[in-house]
Amino acid sequence: MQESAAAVGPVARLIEEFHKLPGIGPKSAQRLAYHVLRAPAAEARALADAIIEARERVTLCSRCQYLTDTDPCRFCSDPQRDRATVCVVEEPLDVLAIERSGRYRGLYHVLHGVISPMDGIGPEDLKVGELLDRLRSGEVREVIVATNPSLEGEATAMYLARLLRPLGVRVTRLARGLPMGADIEYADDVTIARALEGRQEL
Amino acid sequence: METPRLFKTEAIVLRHRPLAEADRLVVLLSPTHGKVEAKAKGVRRAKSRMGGHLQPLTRVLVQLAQGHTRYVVAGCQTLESFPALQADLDRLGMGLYACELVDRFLPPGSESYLAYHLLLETLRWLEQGASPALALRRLEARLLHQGGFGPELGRCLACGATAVERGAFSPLAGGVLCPACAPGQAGARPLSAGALAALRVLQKGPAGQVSRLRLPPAIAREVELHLRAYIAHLLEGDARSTSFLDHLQRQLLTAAQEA
Ligand SMILES: [Zn+2]
Ligand SMILES: [Zn+2]
Repeated sequence: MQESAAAVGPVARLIEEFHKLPGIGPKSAQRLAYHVLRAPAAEARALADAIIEARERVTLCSRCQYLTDTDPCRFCSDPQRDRATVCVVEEPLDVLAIERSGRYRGLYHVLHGVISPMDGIGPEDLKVGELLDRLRSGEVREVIVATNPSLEGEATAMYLARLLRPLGVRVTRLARGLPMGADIEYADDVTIARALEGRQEL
Repeated sequence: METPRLFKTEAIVLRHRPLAEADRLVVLLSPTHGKVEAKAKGVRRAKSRMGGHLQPLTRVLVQLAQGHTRYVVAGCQTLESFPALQADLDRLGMGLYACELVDRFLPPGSESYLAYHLLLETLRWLEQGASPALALRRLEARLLHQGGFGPELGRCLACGATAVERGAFSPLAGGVLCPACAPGQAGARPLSAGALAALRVLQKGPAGQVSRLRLPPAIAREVELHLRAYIAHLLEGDARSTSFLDHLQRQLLTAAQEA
């Protein structure tokens, strides 16, 4: 941190901003900042533009809460996808991981988090109300809960099962191909495909 | 240059949070080494053998190595995993609440032997299933008492009278007030004889006596509210996990009304 303290004005500010990003420590923040400063001006501008454009154009899909620049998103507006099945995930990155497996043809619902009582994060802080609204249309017959196999992911799955079962929807959970503690984001395609195939009633 | 100091201890995983690179930070409660923060490397990857052992509400045997800035988990095996508790949403919420309380009332570096065994007894009680709310009340009362946080239940905090059988409970004053002193005291709530007797057993009574307590619902509710107000006073706000327990409770009530 001493070096970033020695850096002044705009450089310090840039380091500071990188440091706020998830997984970026003070050392990495400095490395990124100096990379941007050494890069050709056009490259730096492209990065800045990309951030601004993404922020301005990308919103949450009003149906599935996935990140999108069109509403509804490309999954929700794709007529080829199975509208009777909804796969519930914690984060947008999990959608990409499940898509990579190539085995899933239904729709998604992104919770944007997971129930974490000790952090004070409850169902009302997640996109659970939006999921309930979707299910009221009666089109959905199965909800696959694909939260991570962590304590919080399991708690969220149990909560959703309790909430959704009275609505007459089939609620299933990814099979234990994914070991406890693992994140879907880091799982390989084969593991995800196997977990999807072996899903079980909650 | 870095001399890794290794040690082995049993511990209960109190909480965890993701770190960069699929790592996780785990907060462990050891009976002999206090509260220890350690980094578990790569445990969010599907190939990790350690991830499953290091979930909260698990009793583990861990090997910890002194790393650069904090301990690193070098090895881990599960000793006890409380499967019934983990599979039941209500008891899971209660178990997490128990962990949060111990975490928040046990400062880093403090003696942890009593708190460890109190938490372990509580988790075993929740696992076995009967009257789980009583397990939490006992944990609350004992944990605070062991940590020197009170509340005073033996004598009136205003006049010192020792034969108090009812009166008021005041988080601000730190315990009971006799009927003569209670009126006009800020934040004091009426305390029934039944609730005071129950609080005394919960705070100091032997485990057998506590498990034989059969509190009428009104008394159980009163005890719960007094302890909750007291904890909220000490923590300057409710414990974070109570909002989830409240949510489940409300849901249960609505479901009962609809049925
Ligand atoms: Zn969508
Ligand atoms: Zn008095």
